[in-house]
Formats: sequence, C-alpha cells, structure tokens
Amino acid sequence: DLTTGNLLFERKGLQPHHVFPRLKGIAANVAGGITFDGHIKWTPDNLSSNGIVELVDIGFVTPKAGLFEGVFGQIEFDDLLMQHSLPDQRIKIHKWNAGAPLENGVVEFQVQNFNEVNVQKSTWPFAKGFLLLEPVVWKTEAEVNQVVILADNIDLAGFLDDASLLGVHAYGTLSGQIAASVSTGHIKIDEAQFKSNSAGFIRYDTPAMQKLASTNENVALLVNALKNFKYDEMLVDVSGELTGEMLVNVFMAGRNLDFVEGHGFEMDVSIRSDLMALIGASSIAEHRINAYVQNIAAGFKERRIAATTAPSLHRTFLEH
Amino acid sequence: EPVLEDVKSAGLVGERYDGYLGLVSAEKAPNDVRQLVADVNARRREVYTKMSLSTGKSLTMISGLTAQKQYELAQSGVFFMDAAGRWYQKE
Amino acid sequence: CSPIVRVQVPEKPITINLNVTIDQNVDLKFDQDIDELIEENPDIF
Repeated sequence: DLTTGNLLFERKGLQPHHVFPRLKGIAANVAGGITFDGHIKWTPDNLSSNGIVELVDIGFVTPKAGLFEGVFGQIEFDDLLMQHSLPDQRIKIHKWNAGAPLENGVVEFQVQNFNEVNVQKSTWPFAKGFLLLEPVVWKTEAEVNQVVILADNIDLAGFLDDASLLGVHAYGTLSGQIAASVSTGHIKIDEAQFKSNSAGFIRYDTPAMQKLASTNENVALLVNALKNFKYDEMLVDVSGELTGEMLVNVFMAGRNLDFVEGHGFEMDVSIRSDLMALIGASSIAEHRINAYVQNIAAGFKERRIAATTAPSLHRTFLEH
Repeated sequence: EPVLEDVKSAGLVGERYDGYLGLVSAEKAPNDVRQLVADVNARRREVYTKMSLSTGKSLTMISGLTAQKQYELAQSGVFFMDAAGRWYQKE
Repeated sequence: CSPIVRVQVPEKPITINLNVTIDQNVDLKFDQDIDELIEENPDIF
C-alpha cells in the first residue's frame, strides 16, 4: 500500500508540485497540512486505487479563482493515476477572495482530471442572504470560465453595512443573478440583474447632500425625496468588472410620504465605481473618495427632459 | 525547470497590459513554461489582492499600474501585450 | 354627511435621472506602493 502519512506545505517550503509535478501552476503558495492515505490494489482485471486526501487548514492562490484560506475537507480519489475522485466531495472554505471577500462557503465537487473539476454545488453566505454558484465544470487551463451565480435575499442593510462608506441606509432585500466570465486576473460581469423582493426604504441624508441640494433644484428634489424614500419596486443592473470598475444602475419607483404629499417618483441612478474594492478595503477611513454627480435631469413621466446619457442600461421596467 | 528571466528573454513569455504574464505564442509554449506562467500569475494575484484589501484600490487598478512599471523597468526586446491582445517588443 | 370622494387624478411620477462617479485618486503614495510591491517580490516580477 502506498501511504504517505501527512505532508505539511509551507509558502516558502514544500509545495504540492514538489510531490506531484503536474500540480505546478494549478495552485501556488500552498500552506497547510494534508494527510494522504492511499491504497493501490492489483487484481487480475484491473488496477484500482483509492486515496483519501484530508485537507487541514489549507491556503493557496490560483490565477483565475483568486485567494483561498482555511480550506478543510476530505477528497476521496478513486483513480489516483488519472486524478479522478468520487462525486460529492465536500470542502469548507473559511475565506475566498476572487475580487470580493467571501467567507464560510461550502463547495461540493468531483475531480474529473487534472484540469477539470465538476463543481456540483457551492453556497456562500453574503449580506444576510446567500450566493449560490450554478453547477459548472471548472477548467483550470481554459482561457475563460463562464459562471452563473444566483443571489438569494441579499439584505440591502447587510450589503451597505459592509460598504458603510456610502452613508446610505437601505432596508429591503434583493434577489437576482450574475453571469460572469472568469479569466486570469479578471471577473467580467456579462450580465447581472437583481429585483427587490418587496417594498423597502432608502434613507440618505448627509451634510454633503444638503450642500449639493443648494446648488440645483433638481438635486434638491432628489435630496428631499431620498430623505425617507419608500420604494415599491427596485431593479438593479450591474455590468463591468468585479475586479475593477463596475457600473451599477438602480431603478426605483416609490415616494417620500413627507415630501410633496407623497407624490410618486421614478429614480434612475447609475453609479460608476470600483465597488468591490471599496467594500473589501480594511482601511477605507483615510481614503479620499470623491463622488461627483455627472448630470441630473428631472421631469414628468411624459415630458422627460434631457434624458441622461446613461447607456442603454436604462430600460423602462414598468411597462411589463 | 524554466526560469522567468530566461523565458522572457527567449521571447516565449511576455508581460501583459493587466500586470500578468502571457504566453507570446500559446500553442508553441512547452508545458513547463505554461506551468511557470500560471504559477507566477497566481502568486502575482495574491500580492495584488492583499494590496487591494489594504488600500481600497481595485485589483485592475493595482495590476494595471504594475504593468506600466514593468514596462519602464524592462530591457528592450521584452514582449508586451496591449489591451487589444497584440504583442510587441519594447525597443 | 355624505362621504367626500376625492377623485384621484392619476399622478404623473416625477422622474429623476442621475449619474454618479466615485473616483479614487491615484496619489504619489499609491505609486510608491506599486514600486515597493515589485521590489519586494523579485521572484515573480
């Protein structure tokens, strides 16, 4: 029997590719322990081997999927030579950062060969809701891997608490879906749409906004409406790069009951920013962020004045 | 095992506009060079990610500026890929 | 007394379109951070 007992990988020391050369380039800076218990049996008709690899607090980084810390679990290989595992192998991941910081995820998968992992299920808690990765065959050597992530009951307050820098207080939950293309160093959002699950509130009342309000009556309209805005419907479209500049387009229909007798508003706000970096940053405080309003147009539904130059992202959602 | 400097001066590997290594001609690249590129790119990804977390700057902003610096530091003849995917050699 | 029925004229919502950009300025410190990043990792740069 081939049993190697346990191995301890260290960033500057022993690496998996020193033991299994073919692993070079799949994961780097590997740290943590594995215990390997392999049995190779010869029978007249076939060579069968199974090996249970136990991962103990493993950390590593990959070019496309990013940084992993605190990975625990067991992988049972049923054909060591081809690196093939049984299905439904399950690992827990304490931290994963592919461009946005996620924690306490679970991945269920089957290793199909050196470069192919059939990710059967992967769930991550996020902003009091969940992100669920749709099943995908992840190819480590592919230029690009397409993934679809379902977002379930993302709590706006939970999400914005992480991004506390915006000073926006929002209440309500969104659900939706993100289709993304993952390549070395980039997560490009091909399409992402979220919809409010029920009515909710936006409260945004900061000195900066008050000052802004004095400059322009359209802005004053917006500022007063957002002091206590009850939205009946919110739709969010996101594009750009999760690892870089994102364009978030928020459409809201609702009212502020304490302003213009609760007259109805339809707001179409597009925000361009490196959102995930702002959320993930630990030392955001001393960070100088300047947010500037490019243009603001207000009007009545029929006589829309000076529609903004927002790209085609804006769609009139209310007609459906 | 191939060494980064050698594969770069041999024109097998170049620096990309986004701060990662690329194979100048992917089909002709030997496997061990392909593995070296992936290994270095993974380790660069970690360095960029850690900096992004501490500065609040995005990964692409950090890796993009790194690419410009790599260009300035590179000797002539080193291959660079522009954002459109075209390779050229630094004079 | 008879209930007063106020005929609600269908309100035309006020529409607001707003584009905001949140920029982070690239300052000298950030530039130096990048130089450091390269210098401190000679094996990968």
